[in-house]
Amino acid sequence: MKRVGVFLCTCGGQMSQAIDFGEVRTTLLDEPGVVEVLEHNSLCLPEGLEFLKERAGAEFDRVVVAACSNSVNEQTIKQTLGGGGISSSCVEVVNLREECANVHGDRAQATAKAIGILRGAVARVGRANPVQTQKIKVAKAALVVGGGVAGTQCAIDIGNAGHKVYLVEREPSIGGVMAQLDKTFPTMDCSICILGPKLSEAGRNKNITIIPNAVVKSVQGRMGDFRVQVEVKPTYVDPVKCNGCGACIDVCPVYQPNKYDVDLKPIKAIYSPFAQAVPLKYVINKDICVECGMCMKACGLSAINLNDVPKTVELNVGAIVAATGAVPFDARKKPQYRYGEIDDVITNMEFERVICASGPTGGLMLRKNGEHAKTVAFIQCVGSREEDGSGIEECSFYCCAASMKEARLIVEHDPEAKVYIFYTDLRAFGKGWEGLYTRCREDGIIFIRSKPSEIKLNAETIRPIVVYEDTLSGRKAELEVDSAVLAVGIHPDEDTKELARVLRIPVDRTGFLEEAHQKMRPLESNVDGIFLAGTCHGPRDIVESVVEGTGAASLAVSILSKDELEPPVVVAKVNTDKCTGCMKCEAACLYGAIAPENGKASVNEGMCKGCGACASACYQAAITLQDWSRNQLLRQVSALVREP
Amino acid sequence: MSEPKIVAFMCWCSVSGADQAGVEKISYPAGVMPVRIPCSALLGPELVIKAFERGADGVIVSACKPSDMRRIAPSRLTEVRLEILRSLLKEVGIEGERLQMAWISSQEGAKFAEEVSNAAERIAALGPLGFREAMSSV
Repeated sequence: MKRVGVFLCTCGGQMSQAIDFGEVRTTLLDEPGVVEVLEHNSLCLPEGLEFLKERAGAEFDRVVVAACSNSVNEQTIKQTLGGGGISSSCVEVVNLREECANVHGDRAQATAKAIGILRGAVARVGRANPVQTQKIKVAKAALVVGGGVAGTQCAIDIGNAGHKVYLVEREPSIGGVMAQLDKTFPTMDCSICILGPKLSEAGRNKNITIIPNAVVKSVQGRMGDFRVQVEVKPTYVDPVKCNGCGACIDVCPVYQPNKYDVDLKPIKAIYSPFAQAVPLKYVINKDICVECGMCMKACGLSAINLNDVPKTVELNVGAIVAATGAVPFDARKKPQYRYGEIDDVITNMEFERVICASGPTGGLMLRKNGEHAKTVAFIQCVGSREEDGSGIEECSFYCCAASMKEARLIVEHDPEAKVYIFYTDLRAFGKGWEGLYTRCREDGIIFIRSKPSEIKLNAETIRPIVVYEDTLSGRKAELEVDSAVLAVGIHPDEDTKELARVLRIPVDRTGFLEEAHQKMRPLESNVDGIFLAGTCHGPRDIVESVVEGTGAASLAVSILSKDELEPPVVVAKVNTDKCTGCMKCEAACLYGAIAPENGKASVNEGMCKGCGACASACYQAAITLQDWSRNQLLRQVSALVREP
Repeated sequence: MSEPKIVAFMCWCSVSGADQAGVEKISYPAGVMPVRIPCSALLGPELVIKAFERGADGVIVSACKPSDMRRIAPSRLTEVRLEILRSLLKEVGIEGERLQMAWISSQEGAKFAEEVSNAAERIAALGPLGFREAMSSV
């Protein structure tokens, strides 16, 4: 027989005034299992909790506490009693103040209701089935997926906190989009000059293992103990032997466009994408390599192995940070701007490479025919703030400031140049952005409020013509320029969507990874132990990406700094003897926490939110939500409505 | 007649709504007996039937408004399930109105009191249920 103790909090006399606790006590003592009904005038105060712990620990194995709002005290009471050796499953806290005493003026009615509620609680707790949860031993390492500025910052911060980090990057070098930029707004810092030191810091940090040319293939397990498979593509150069001397590129006869330079500049078939690459290890593009063997002869370290094969690396980590970034919108999807048809219509990413001293033109703003571009137009919101479905609906966050920065770069290089910015709404909300706007005005940059309808080609001059309506004056006009730069929005790429599938985390309508809660848990995914940083979960700038890298690192460290984790108690459990594998539960689970395993339903406890939708969907009654079993609830309901 | 006995299944957010009614001391009929559940989606038909069988005159299921939830709205699932259950209850002579659904979110104390009061009034108008008599008439 269970020994149930009932504790009534009189709340300084408030509750006992509204409810006849004497009658409650007498009636409850007749309930099977109830051995004592005790009163205290303030169970929430330290002496009240001490009273609870002392009496309950010594006399009872099940406890019902009648007090105030569960949101105020339930966890405190359960923790206190846990310290006295009573499992949280065996403690039921009911709210007699807000749900009864405060809302019913008639003392007899309130007393009858209180008796019903407490009978229900006694019945429920009598059927409780406490589980011995096995603590999760924390794997003392983190996985960061994506080595852009967010992921790199995150890896550095976790590494500096003293934990091992695996930084997985699909490209040969970390650095991401920021490495491709010329300058950063609003401070006009040279991008690679401020990023480069961070990349090399990540490279030399003893706790960080960078795994380049690699993608995450599968993830199993849960917070504290994820098992991850990473597939490393063959690079045909042994990264252990290669010291980055570059003897191989001198002799390689094959050229390819460099993705880093948005295909505007050639690079050899054996290459490293840029001078500041980390790790500085060469790779071979086997698709175009003619296998002449020249590099093998030139390499004094015998690092080249043309028979390299894909490798799988197995990792055991306690926390995962997704920082896979986003990609620019494909401007071809806005055919009215004739990107790809008119030579001098370029994207802002191409512009960044053109204006950069290490880029294809050595930093000169040139047209495709080699002439200096003297008039340049920027077109904002290409593929963002699109209501017609051609791009994303969201504002892409970075592009107003980026175009203002780029406009100033043109004027800095050539004070005679004329620059126009065609904007929908100019958004300068960040720190120092307003000053950037003011300086643009001082520099003579012209802002025109318009989303141009099309770009035409002047066949004689071979220059683009921007066709627009100034929405402030209503004037329709055309403007012929040397070069038109499309400020394209950013959106998640296929690799991010694939990662979401592998991690079993949801994506939003646009395809960006989704936060557990946009405001209150902005860096957490719906799965415990998987965090988000940077543009993989929505457009943002460098500042925010860095902030989020650090933020996600602190969340990861809060897991890694523990040796063991308490697994969540209220999760769905499958009785495999009863389960027929019909998978109705999988369809009912809105969190994707249930999947078939060996023909039976299996719950991923790291993803289960404890709602119980699966339990009520199961025809076989094979699923039980811990602490909320059918048996408990049926008995609670029966006791609740029983006549006196 | 005496006040009807009503079992109110309340999801986590609705419990906060009921809390708010308590904080503001907004009164509602004392026959409303609360049962806390983590999410309305946990509610299986057997719990509703058990409530009627053991003497409840009505059942209220209080859940989050789907528009208040982000992307995932389990209470939509509940709504559909209750609609099916209502049609089954009618088959055994229990009026559909005895099973009410209310959309209550955390801040809605006054709305909680109002909705359960209205539901209680509608259920009271139907008179006492008496489940066993209802079953014997099938």
